[in-house]
Amino acid sequence: MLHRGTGNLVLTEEGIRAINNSLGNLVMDSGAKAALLLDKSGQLIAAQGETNALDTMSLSALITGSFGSNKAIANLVGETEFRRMFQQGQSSSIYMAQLVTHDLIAVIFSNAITVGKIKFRVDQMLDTLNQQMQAMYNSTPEAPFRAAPSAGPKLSDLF
Amino acid sequence: MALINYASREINCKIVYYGTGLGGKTTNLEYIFKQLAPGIRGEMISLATETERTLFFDFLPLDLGSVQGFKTKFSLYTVPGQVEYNASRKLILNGVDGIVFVADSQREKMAENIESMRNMEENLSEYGLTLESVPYVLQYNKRDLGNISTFEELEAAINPRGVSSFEAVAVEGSGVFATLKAVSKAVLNRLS
Ligand SMILES: Nc1nc2c(ncn2[C@@H]2O[C@H](COP(=O)(O)OP(=O)(O)O)[C@@H](O)[C@H]2O)c(=O)[nH]1
Ligand SMILES: [Mg+2]
Repeated sequence: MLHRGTGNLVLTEEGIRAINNSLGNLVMDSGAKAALLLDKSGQLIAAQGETNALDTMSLSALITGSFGSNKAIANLVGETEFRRMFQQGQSSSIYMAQLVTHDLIAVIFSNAITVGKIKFRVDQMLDTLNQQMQAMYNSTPEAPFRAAPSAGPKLSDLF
Repeated sequence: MALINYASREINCKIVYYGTGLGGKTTNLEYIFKQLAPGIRGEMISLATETERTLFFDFLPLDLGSVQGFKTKFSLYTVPGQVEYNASRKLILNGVDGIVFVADSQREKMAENIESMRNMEENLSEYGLTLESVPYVLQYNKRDLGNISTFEELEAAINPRGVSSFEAVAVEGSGVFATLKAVSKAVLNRLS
């Protein structure tokens, strides 16, 4: 049994398949380059589209950080949070939205596509993603490691 | 909170270096970055001010390879120590799996260390976490300097629970990997 103190998020194979399917559809329907799903601690849950050229780990940490700092900005102007964010670049842009689980979806798209279209498609997909992520949080955790101490030698090799 | 992916058989854990400003948190990450091969560590990202003080966070991803059939990755973060950046510190603790508390051993920093520890507990409590629920280790840094508290004094002041603690000179790298190894083990032990 896993410690739930820090509330681990367990991604099951079916769960991930469903989410990849949603993200894949979103990329296809909107014409976006890539769609990422990030958990609230800044880690990548899933990604679809042209992700090979992306440093998804750094992107996840930075997007989550910027979303969080914007929440603080929201508080300063009397809002509890900004649920959507849009970053516009020269040739591509990023649209971000928060799920009810506080995880984030980030869509990277070429400026040949309007942000309105991306926003529309993301909004269409949000309910499904909300349900899929809530199902994951509700799934029964199972310990990935049978015995902990065997991590010891591995760490000694590395560091 | 660890992200455990049974589809890709990957585990991602978040480790945060916490502590008073200028205590040596960023220096720890810089040393780890320098020492590890590029295959094991990713690029280090530092969101710093022009005077090189951490503004938001430093981030360094590590790939520990396969542990019991799971590709195991750690994300190391540091927080900004400046008192006025508490919002950033709180944010970075979101979803934390393990903490390294870096204390500055200089005598005149003792009160700041104690305050930073108190601030950390307060920020953890916002996520429903306590120092009982999150594994953490201590690092007593800057042991090379002259006017420093003894190991026993530091233990008495900021280690009431008697967790693992390490003396370090982060600028030279001493104690850096011992600290990282201890927190890594503590975090991985939680997953069994
Ligand atoms: N003498 C000494 N200086 C250190 C040591 N570790 C870090 N420093 C210095 O302390 C200053 C602050 O370090 P930094 O890592 O930026 O602190 P942070 O605010 O905790 O991230 C820098 O000038 C470091 O070179 C140490 O072990 N001994
Ligand atoms: Mg720093």
